[in-house]
Amino acid sequence: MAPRLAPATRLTFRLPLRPSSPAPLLLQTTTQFHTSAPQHVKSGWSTLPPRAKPTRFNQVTSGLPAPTTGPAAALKRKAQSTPVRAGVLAVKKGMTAFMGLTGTRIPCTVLQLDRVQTVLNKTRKGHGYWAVQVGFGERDPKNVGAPMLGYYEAKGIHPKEQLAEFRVRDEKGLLPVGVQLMPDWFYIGQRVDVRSNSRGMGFAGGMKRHGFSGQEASHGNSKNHRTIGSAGPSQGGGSRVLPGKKMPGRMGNQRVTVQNLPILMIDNDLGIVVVKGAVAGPKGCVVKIQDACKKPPPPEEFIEKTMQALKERFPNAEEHLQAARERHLELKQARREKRIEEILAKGWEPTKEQAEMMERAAAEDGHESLGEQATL
Amino acid sequence: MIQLKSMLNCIDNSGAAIVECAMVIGQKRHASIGDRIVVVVQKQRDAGAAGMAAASGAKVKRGDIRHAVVVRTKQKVTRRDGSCIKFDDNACVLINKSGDPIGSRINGVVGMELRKKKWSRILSMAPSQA
Amino acid sequence: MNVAPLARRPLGCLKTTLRQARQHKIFSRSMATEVQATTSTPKSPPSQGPDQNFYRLVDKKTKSVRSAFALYPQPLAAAGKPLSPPSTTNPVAALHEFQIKKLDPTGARTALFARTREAAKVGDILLVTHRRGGEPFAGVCLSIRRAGIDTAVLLRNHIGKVGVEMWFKVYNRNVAGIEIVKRRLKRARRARLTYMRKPKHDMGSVAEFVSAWRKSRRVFQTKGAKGKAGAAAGAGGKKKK
Repeated sequence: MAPRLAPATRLTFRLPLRPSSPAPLLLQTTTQFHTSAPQHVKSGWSTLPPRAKPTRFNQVTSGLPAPTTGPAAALKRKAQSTPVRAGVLAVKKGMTAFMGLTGTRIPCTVLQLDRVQTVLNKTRKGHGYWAVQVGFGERDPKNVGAPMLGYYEAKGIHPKEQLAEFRVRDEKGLLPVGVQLMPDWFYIGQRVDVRSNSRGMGFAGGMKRHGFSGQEASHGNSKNHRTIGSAGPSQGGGSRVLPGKKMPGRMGNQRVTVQNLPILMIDNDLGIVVVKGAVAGPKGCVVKIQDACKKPPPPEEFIEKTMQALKERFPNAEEHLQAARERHLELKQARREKRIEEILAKGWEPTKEQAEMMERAAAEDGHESLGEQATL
Repeated sequence: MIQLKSMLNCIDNSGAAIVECAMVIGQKRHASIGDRIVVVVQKQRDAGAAGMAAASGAKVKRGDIRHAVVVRTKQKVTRRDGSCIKFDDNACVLINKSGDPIGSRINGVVGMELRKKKWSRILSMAPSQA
Repeated sequence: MNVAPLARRPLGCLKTTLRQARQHKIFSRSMATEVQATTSTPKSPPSQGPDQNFYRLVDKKTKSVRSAFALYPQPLAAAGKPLSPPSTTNPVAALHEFQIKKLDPTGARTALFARTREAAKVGDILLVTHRRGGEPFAGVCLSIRRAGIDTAVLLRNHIGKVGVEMWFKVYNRNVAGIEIVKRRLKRARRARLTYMRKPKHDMGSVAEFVSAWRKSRRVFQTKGAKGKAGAAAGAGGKKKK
């Protein structure tokens, strides 16, 4: 999950961390083989100022229109169909119905959110596009690999069960890291797109997979009742099977998007979002819910309200992230220098802020346990 | 699910007993209750017993091509409140091109979906609705 | 590792509550030691036992700690406010309960199709009254599909020599009332009596049972106590005979 940098820059970036390693030597050897030197490293005999990598065609200076291809053009083109806000991850819990007051029955799907947190913001500069990575649920750390443990450590978040990212239109869609997204991220009546993997059917024949007609039951047909017919023309037609020919194969377990589903109900306590109609996949499958890309985005006031709620619920998310980052760097260094045992022996000393927080939590704890006893 | 070649009972007194669907009117794969179809009369009521005499009283003859409205289907029809209805046979009522029933009486139950599809004339003629 | 705001949560799901209370206790205990360590002796070595805030990668052979990563229990991650899992893992049932409470406040409909001796069973003759006009539909119950708010019954009858089958959603507002006209003498040995569609087993019309039942009700009814059968059903009370 590290930002992708050019190999040379990554090398220089790492240098100060391991002064004792034979890195300078490595640098020398690599520079020898570099035909074009990294821009910010003064190398060789040229004293000219560094130049941007020249593009041969369609430069701004040439008076031609802006390019219609390339990453910038692609982002601009897709901006219209990219939602303004990030979405959430949920689990499909099953289908039921709403009985309306006028006697109408509305079939609906129940989707449940479980500790959905933002994990990472992806930016145009760092990653090439705008997106928010969102985590779902909680995973036992023993089922998480070391690289990912380090990743979560740096975010100050408990390992998540699922991670997914949601593209957003621009930097306005980015969210503070570590905040929880609740069902009230959406409003009743809002249209959303729901994505999930359909139920896998395994290896299926042409009749089931593509709705082919099959072949005759009689008239001399021999053991070819459900097989596909010809795969294409013979000599004259190319004597080949055209690309994309529908054939038997794995069916289902594909990403299916159901667009523009209206939201019928949200409940923060149950953690549910109820959408009208069906959603692909079996019960228990993970679904992505995001604002519908073919409808206008939610009203400005609503977006502001949700952002305000996030701030109120998680006032010091940024400080927490910063503290986690700093601590991660410390621990990383310790791991590299094999000092981790010392830290473990010493135990974790919470920072002043964290200690306060814990005290507050403990105090709240006491209150609540008292309240619980009273109610019980 | 009435489609080409489906055989239906004709439940009015137009003289037809069994008709065959020749076409579903409208861009539909198959007709349901309240849909209009084109039928061919295959069997007349009492045709076998009295021969031509009975046929003269009937308004339609065997081989006639007529329009009809489906009033019962074996395929279950779901309603807006989630309830379903399903009959044991497929049945229709013959109509002329302007949509008026050819017969003057209907024997047997018809589906309520006719009301939604504006076949109130047929509904009022039917002895019972379900 | 979660401190759930238990007091704020309905105590509908006792099992979950208990489970959370247990976790709650463990957590608060660990929290207390932490707080003590910081307040009394700020830089003293921690209490015995492994530190819960680290996940250790242990070498299987040498049993030594290869590496360790800091873990952030959810309350810290949420900066003061705990992240808690949703109050139930079965929200569909909760949703059913919520809707049934609203649509069937007396519990009569639920009781009529519960798994009890008194409840309606397949093979019984039921009469369903519509709220929106139309005649009441009577028929022998072929199947009961129990699915919370979506619970439905399949009735079969003959109307004018034609078999008619109807599914009714029990909790729908259009269904004004359901009454048991006649119980099956012996318990049906199938869950779905689809064989009753076959001519050999078909019951035919149930009209005579319904009219007999109507007559008997008129006999038993006291004057002016209740109106017609349909009206009584419409008032919400489902008569069980």
